[in-house]
Amino acid sequence: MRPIAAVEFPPEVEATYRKARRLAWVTVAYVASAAAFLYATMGTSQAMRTSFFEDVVSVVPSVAFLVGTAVARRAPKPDYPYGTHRATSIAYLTASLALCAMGVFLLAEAAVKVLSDEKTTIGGFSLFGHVVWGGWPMLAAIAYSAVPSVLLGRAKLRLAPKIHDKVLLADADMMRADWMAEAATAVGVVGAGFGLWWLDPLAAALVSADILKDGVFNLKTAVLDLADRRPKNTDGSDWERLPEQVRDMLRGLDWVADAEVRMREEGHIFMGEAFVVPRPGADDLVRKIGQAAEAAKALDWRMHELTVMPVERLPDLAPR
Amino acid sequence: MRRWGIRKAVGLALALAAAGCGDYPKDARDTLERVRAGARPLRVGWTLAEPWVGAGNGEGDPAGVEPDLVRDWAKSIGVQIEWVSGSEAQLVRALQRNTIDVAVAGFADSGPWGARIGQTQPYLEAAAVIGAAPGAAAPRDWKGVEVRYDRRRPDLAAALRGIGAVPVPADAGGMAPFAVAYEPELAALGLAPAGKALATERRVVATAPAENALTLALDRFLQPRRDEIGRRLAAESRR
Repeated sequence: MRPIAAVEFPPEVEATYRKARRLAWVTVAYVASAAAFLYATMGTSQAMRTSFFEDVVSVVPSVAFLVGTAVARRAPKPDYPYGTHRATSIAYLTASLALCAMGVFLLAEAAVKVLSDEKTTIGGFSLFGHVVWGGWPMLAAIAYSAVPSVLLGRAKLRLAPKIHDKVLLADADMMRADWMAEAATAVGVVGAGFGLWWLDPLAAALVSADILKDGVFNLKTAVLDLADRRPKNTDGSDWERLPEQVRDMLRGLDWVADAEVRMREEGHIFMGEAFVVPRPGADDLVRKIGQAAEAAKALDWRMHELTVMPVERLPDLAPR
Repeated sequence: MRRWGIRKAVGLALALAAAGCGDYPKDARDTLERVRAGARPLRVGWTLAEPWVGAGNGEGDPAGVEPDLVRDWAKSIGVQIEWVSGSEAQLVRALQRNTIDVAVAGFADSGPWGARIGQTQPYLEAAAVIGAAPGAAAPRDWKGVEVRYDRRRPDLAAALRGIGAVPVPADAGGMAPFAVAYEPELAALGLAPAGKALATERRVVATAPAENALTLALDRFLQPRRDEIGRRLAAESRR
């Protein structure tokens, strides 16, 4: 089969994309180092195993982004005529599931803690021959673990809409989940020091509910994108304007009486069909249609492939 | 919306920290404060667990490494002890409901009780090893080999089964040619280490949950004495 053209990001998008990949690598490296640090301060306890699991889950969106974008940018081949852009959607689904898993996991952990009558007790910790309260090194470990999450999360949140990458957005949500969970733990540690042992599961439950809400929102978007829903903008706050822009551009052409478009999202890019009703007497249609498709692509770098089809009348139930 | 979380958390943490700089960390039930003030004795639960907790002199009080440590600590802070004996499960339940304050039962930090109870930092890292009497050559494989153990320590017999050796109950006098014991005890028993450690256990003292000041005070007493505790264990094996 004859494949579509290879996708090339415009230079400024390409630069943003490279930056995002760097951030993802930094995330992987930092999560690994934070896991090592936690291992050193917390020993072989249950808490250690729990935080190790959390670290593994929290790195999933970054890995999904690195793998997904690399696969999505492969050139289309005869066996993959539409390219492999759906890899981005699959990566997004994976990242959303990881976010849901994190929320469920933290919520379950808080619930188990309460149900099995566990209370945080923090005694001493040997530090260079002195015994200090164990809460202080814990808070240091938490700060080390949370601060980069805040910074990385913000950077990713800024970049995601520029390259229209929802995986990166889910990754930013995961960073946010990460530092919020750490903040909840910090509240728990400080609270435990006052003998308020119930503050730990309470803070964890509140935070995990928020993370779960984020995860469900992303999961819903990921599934609906795969079901070819009408495209929304990167953060899902509104409908994407691009289909209307293309339609209005086509309607504005002097040889076009009416036009409608149908569009779907494939990872970073959009593909779709346009139906145009030519005015009576319009000649040289093949050339004009070719020009119209090119004009549509010129509107936005994400408009990758548009099939323009001349029709006598528009399909009955046009997309709203 | 993405910012409120951290501000609230930091604000709450700072407010809490500012509220109680004086005596921090605190006990959920003020145990340390109350026993120090002499309002009531420190209630210490115990159960037999050789060599950590041994039967006492017949007056109902325990002997051994852990009871002695708790006695020394209580003395150092001027606190009376009320000994309470019970099974390990009973002690754990009592700790959970604050009907005792501290428990000694040879607890390890990897115990099944998790965060249901509090615990000190490990006061001793004790490796159980097989020792050989002078002149006895250690086999390459312990499968089927008879190894003696102090009959009061069934947990060490279990560790021997784990490597396929045949545990033989014995008394402190008759440990030759091979016997399992904790590393600091070997010399006192006239044995030399033969082979790797069977198990390394980190010993802790259990505390009532959420009694942070109590646990910290106990840690401050135990941690500087770790070497001394090892020597004490060696002396214990000659009993």
